[in-house]
Amino acid sequence: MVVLAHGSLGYWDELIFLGVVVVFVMLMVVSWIRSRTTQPQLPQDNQAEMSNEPDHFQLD
Amino acid sequence: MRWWIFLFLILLFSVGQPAQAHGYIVRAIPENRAVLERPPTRLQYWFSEALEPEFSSLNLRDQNGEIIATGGVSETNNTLMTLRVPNDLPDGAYVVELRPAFASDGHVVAESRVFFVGEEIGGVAAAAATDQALPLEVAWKVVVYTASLLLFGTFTLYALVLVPAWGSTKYPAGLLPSRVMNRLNLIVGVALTAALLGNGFALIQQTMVFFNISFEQALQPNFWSLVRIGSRFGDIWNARMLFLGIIGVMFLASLYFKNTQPEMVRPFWVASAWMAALVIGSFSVLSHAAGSLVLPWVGVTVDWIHALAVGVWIGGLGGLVLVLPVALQPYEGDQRRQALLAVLRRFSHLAVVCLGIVITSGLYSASNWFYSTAEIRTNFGLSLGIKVAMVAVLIGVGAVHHAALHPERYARFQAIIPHLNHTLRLETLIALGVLIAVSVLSATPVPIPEFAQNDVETPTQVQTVDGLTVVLTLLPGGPGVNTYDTTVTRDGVRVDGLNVLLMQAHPATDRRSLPHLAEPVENGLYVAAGDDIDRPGRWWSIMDVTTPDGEAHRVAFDWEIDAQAAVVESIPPNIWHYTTLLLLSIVMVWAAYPTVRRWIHKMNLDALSVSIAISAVIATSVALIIGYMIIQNTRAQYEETLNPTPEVVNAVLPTQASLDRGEQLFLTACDWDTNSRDFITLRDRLPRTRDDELFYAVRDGWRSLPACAPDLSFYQRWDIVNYLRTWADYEGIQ
Repeated sequence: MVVLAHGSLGYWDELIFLGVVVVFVMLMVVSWIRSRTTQPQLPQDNQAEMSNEPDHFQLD
Repeated sequence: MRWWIFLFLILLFSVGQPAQAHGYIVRAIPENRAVLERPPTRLQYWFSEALEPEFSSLNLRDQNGEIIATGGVSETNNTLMTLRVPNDLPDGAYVVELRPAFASDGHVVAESRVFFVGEEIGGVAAAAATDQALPLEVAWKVVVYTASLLLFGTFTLYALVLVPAWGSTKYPAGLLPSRVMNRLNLIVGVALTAALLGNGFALIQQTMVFFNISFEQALQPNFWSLVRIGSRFGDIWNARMLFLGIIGVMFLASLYFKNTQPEMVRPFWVASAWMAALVIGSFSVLSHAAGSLVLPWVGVTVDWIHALAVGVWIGGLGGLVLVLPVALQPYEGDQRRQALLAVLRRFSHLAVVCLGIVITSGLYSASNWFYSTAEIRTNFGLSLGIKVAMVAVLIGVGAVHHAALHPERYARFQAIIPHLNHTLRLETLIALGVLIAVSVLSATPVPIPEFAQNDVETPTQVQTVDGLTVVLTLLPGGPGVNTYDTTVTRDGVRVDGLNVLLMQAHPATDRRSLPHLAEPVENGLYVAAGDDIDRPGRWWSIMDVTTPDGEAHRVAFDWEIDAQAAVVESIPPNIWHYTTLLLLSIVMVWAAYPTVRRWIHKMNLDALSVSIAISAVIATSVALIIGYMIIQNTRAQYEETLNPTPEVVNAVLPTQASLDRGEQLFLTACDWDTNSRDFITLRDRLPRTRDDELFYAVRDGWRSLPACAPDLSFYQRWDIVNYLRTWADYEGIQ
């Protein structure tokens, strides 16, 4: 089945294009799951006042 | 121009979005303003990239403006437009109207070419393709590019800068205060809407261009739906809409869950960045990087990497400037400064990495379009120059910001910090200007390189045998696929009903093609095509013409095939491409180094494991290189075994005269029984037998067939070889 009606980059361009899309969709799903299950390393709330380092400032 | 100025311009021009525009003619038959003694049998125009068959047209007009023939994209080659010229075209001027639609980006170029039959006529001029950008196209590109880059920039800004710099677990919905998340939602909502609307407008504009119709007509579904389902532009348009739709669904999900399941917000935002990357990738697939003559897939990939880096940098900058006023609203004085520095330090680091990628990938893309200073002096060069000048200003402002954030090294730039909000807005305005320049550039045609503008005469020869005048034309007449057009006349009248067999031979390597049975098109024109001519040099076209009453005639043509006549389908990468790719790889490794270093630390490496790993990598590399060399060597040996270089080369063109001489000599000087088993075996083997083997058979004998007379000259023996070939039966072999 021709998914994309062109082939201007060669016989495999549909396959490569769809392959890249599949890879990115997988990465999207993986990043969603990882973000859902793990929190970024942030200073604790009770240390908020202490946590304002040069690279981090906890917004109120 | 001095080389360093050229180098500087290339460097300057390569920063920013890669070049995107449409293709051009790489070979034309006949050439523009050619004066032809006799009418051509067909018109052929090869382009630098694939065309949309449904939306490309080709018309031939006479000097009164009447359309006398129409053509289109070849069924077998989507880079070729062809038109069959009517028979007996009278002397005069002819205008060819071309309207190719390029598959890579959907651009349509209208131009015309002129040729003359007989003698040149004054006052007839061709119209060159415009190299101006279309305003409507620029408009939708400004909207869609800006919106897409802002989307990607905002998602990456959130994940890589805002959460690490300002994040707190006390805000479960996105880890940022609600006022910041609300502003981010507003940015994404507006950008998403703009991208969807802009993309919709893009389809209408493309429909206008493809069908050459008005805006109102293009709004009718029967037009735009054809473009949507029947073109490469439509394919990518559909994909982009799908990606934007997925982002929209995730965005709405994050809004829906923010109160009931606030921990779901961050996953949707992080995941959306990947989909936004695909949206940006959809521009690269439709860019002219896809139409590059040098490694198009590499061009598309580099273009995409470039655009992603621009997205993180400029898109992220836009998102940051829109978020800062709201985020810093409660703060004054030192707290405001600390909050600002926390995000800017992270963003500045990210911007520096992206800038490195933008410059190196831009250098690569520029090397696809600029081969000499001539290309720089085009409209495309001017557009690129303007854009790059703006990027240079942008980089200057960004450099000042970067310096201000590193007081340990650049103390005097500290005075800027209280004004950072204003200077960041200025930087964003300049960035917006850059995006407009990018859109203009992407709609401006690329310069046509000088090597693609060489007009080479099409090889045509006339032979007359036994009252038949045979004209053979090789189109385009260079190494590669050629069309063989044969017209046969007798006393000036076209002859139909002939059987025309055509074979191409390369004497130096003793190779010949299988015979092509030329298809009778109409009124004395017979057409065949093939890729038999695979190298420049001396070639023979050997033609057997048989009349309906069985009368056979041999016609032979001797060509000197010019490598310049080949259609340029691809060109190998040069030192610029390799160097810029290497630079890009170095910057990418540098960008990925912190992440890789974290992985390495987690791997608990010891000396033995590292040694084994390094040895394995070296051994594998060596094995791959040796394997590659063995394969190449084996292939060369196989080719040499299959087609060894002949020790004696046929020196006599197999014309009718040669065949007549050969037959006479065969009958008088060769005592060969044509009914003997060995002669029949030799005859059956003729299609696979080389000329030098036949020559040796004539000179030394073959099996029970004795050598022909020893006093035959070198050329007489070749006459006999040419005659012997007429015994060959190719039926069942083709």
